[in-house]
Amino acid sequence: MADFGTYDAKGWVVKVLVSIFLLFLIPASALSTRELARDINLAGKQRMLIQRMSKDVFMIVANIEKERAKSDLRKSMQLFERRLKGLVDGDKELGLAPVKNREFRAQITRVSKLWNDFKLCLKNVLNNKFSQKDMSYVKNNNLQLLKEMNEGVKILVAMNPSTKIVRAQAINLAGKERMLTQSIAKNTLLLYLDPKDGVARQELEKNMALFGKILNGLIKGDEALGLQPTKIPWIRRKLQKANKEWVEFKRLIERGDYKGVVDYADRLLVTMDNVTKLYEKSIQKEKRALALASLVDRFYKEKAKLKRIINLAGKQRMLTQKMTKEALLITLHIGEQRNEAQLKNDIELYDRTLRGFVKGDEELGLPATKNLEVLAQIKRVEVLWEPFKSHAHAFLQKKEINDLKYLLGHNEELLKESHILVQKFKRAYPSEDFLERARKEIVDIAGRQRMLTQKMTKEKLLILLHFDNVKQKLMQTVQLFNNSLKDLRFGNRAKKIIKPTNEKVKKQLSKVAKIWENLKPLYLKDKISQKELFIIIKQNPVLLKEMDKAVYLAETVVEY
Amino acid sequence: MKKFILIICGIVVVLLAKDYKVKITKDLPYVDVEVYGKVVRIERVQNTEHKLRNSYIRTSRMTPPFYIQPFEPVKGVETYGELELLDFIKNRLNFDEGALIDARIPKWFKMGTIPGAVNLPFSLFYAKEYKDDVLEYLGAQKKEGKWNFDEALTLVIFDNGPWDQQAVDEIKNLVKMGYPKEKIKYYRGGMQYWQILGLTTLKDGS
Repeated sequence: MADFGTYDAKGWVVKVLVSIFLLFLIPASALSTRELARDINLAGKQRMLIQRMSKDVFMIVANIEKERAKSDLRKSMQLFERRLKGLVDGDKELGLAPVKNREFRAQITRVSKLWNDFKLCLKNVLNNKFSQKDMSYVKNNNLQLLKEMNEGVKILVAMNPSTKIVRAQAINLAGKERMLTQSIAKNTLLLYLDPKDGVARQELEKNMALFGKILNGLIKGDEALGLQPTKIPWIRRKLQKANKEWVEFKRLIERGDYKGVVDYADRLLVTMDNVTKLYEKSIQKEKRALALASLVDRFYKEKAKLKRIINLAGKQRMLTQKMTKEALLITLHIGEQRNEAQLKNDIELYDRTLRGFVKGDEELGLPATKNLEVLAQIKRVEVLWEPFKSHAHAFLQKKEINDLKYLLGHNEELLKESHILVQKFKRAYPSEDFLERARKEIVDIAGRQRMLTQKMTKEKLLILLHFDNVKQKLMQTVQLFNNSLKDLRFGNRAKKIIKPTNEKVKKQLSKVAKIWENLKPLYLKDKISQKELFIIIKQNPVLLKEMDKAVYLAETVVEY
Repeated sequence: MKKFILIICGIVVVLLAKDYKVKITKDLPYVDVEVYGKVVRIERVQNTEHKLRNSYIRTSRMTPPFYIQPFEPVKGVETYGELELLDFIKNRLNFDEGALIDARIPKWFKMGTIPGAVNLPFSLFYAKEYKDDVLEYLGAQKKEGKWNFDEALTLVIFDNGPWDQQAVDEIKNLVKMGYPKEKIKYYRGGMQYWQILGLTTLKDGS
């Protein structure tokens, strides 16, 4: 025991300061699941040691293998004390990590107090100075010490997230069986010393019944004990072995073979200890698998969030063209009401998404952007977007040509800056995954196709409004869409676009190609009838939707 | 009488026992593995007419990235065949003395994996913020800023097969992080060889 009386005031100040410093170094929840599992196991073994030490005391008193019992008792006392200290301060050699939990520490203080008195009696037994008083003390207080230690184990078990796993109860009860073997041996010895000891008899009978019930529950399951039948063959084999030993153990108890009981208790203890270790390993393995699964899930959710940002940024490009197209349709009195409603929605969506990039938008699945380069680009987009939005709103209200002119004159500038924003986002969240890198070009080009569907319709409408200078642009847009679709369907090594082999992707791209086959001549035709114009207007959203599906597939299919 | 009943029971058990037409080896019809507290039996498809119908019948995939991997992609990392892997499952994985790692992205893992495998995709090793957690789960311990691998698990890592590089990529990253080479094994055959031999697979790992 340390002599605290020799500490001077200065020493205490230093000690307190060091302790405070250490508290900052070690987080309160520093125990890893592996460390906690080890602590639970060793705290659990303390219960067994209490019974083992009590049993050794009665062996010494009864003069049964006295020297071996003394040696065992000495070892158990040292181990018990060291573990008790290790549970609070940690013990590298024993593999014990310090438990910082206040409730547990208070409980260990209670155990330590009881242990100090208990230990004095044990020392007297070891030094052959024991009296009847010492023996009575051990007999009357070993169960109290056991109870308090058990409370400590319960606190640790409650700290362990694996208690959610049903099989965790199996570890606890298999561990308890170790203690019961020693308790049974102890009570058998007490009865040898005093056959009329009613308490010992009662405890013996109770513990034998409990041992049998738990063992049976571990093998076949026991709802009341919260045990499911053990199906793991290698654990079952060990349990069958324990069962055989238990039958023999009971026979020895019934025969009153005290020496045999003592020997066999240790044999059964070893078997049950092995069973406990196997359960522990099984749970440890499951816990690791669950923890890794949760980690992987977290990683991919985070990744999906980043993909969503890039996808929404990509859609903003398409919206610049879609809004302009809708304004033109309204001007041409085509589906006026519907297009007004859509334009209003699209303005709101573009605006909300842009704000979401900066401040975050939970509903859209957008976190607030912290990247300075991206934020600077968003500012550039905002400078263009604010007047664009005002003119779009004004156009919706008054349908004035000046507002339309503004939209027509600035939509491509907004598209260009929106496109730069997509690239900045991609640079801010680089993907190092070589599988994704291999598909990057495909997803990019398929994504761009969505925007092109809107751009070409916008340009077609402009031509109808006699903006003849757009003709060349439309030709280029149609050509780009056409070539890109071909590349996506049949591959283009120079552009790093691989030919799809996935049936779903092939089918979807064929579907897009079929729609395009009917639409392409209409886009290229110099003069189109009203009927043909309506086909373009009706089929354009379908083309966009099907292309969007193709983008989704390109990103998500296992094998492209 | 008791002996007689026991003999009869024995005969019944033998008669009812599954007759393995297709065994793993002469003396090994199956291997049991614990998966989330339940036992899964790894055995070969018993129908000798059985053929694969999934994407593992394909011979060629676009390069990059699907180049053929060397037998020993990282010097010092042992390469395993099916029997070494099955021995590992039986004698080490079942007793929590090692981990079987499917290095493929979750989409692949969910479609079918080797029973007992956990999914630890290679792409996770490119995210700095996850590396420490991964190493800790694999049994490494960080002390004073340095990793100690004394208690780290032995890992058997696999992917789709010799044409895939997801496992090799993961192994290279683990070695870079200091994971001892002798504690890493590469099952080169991967899901391709595993399935071509008709061995049991598990959807979603559970």
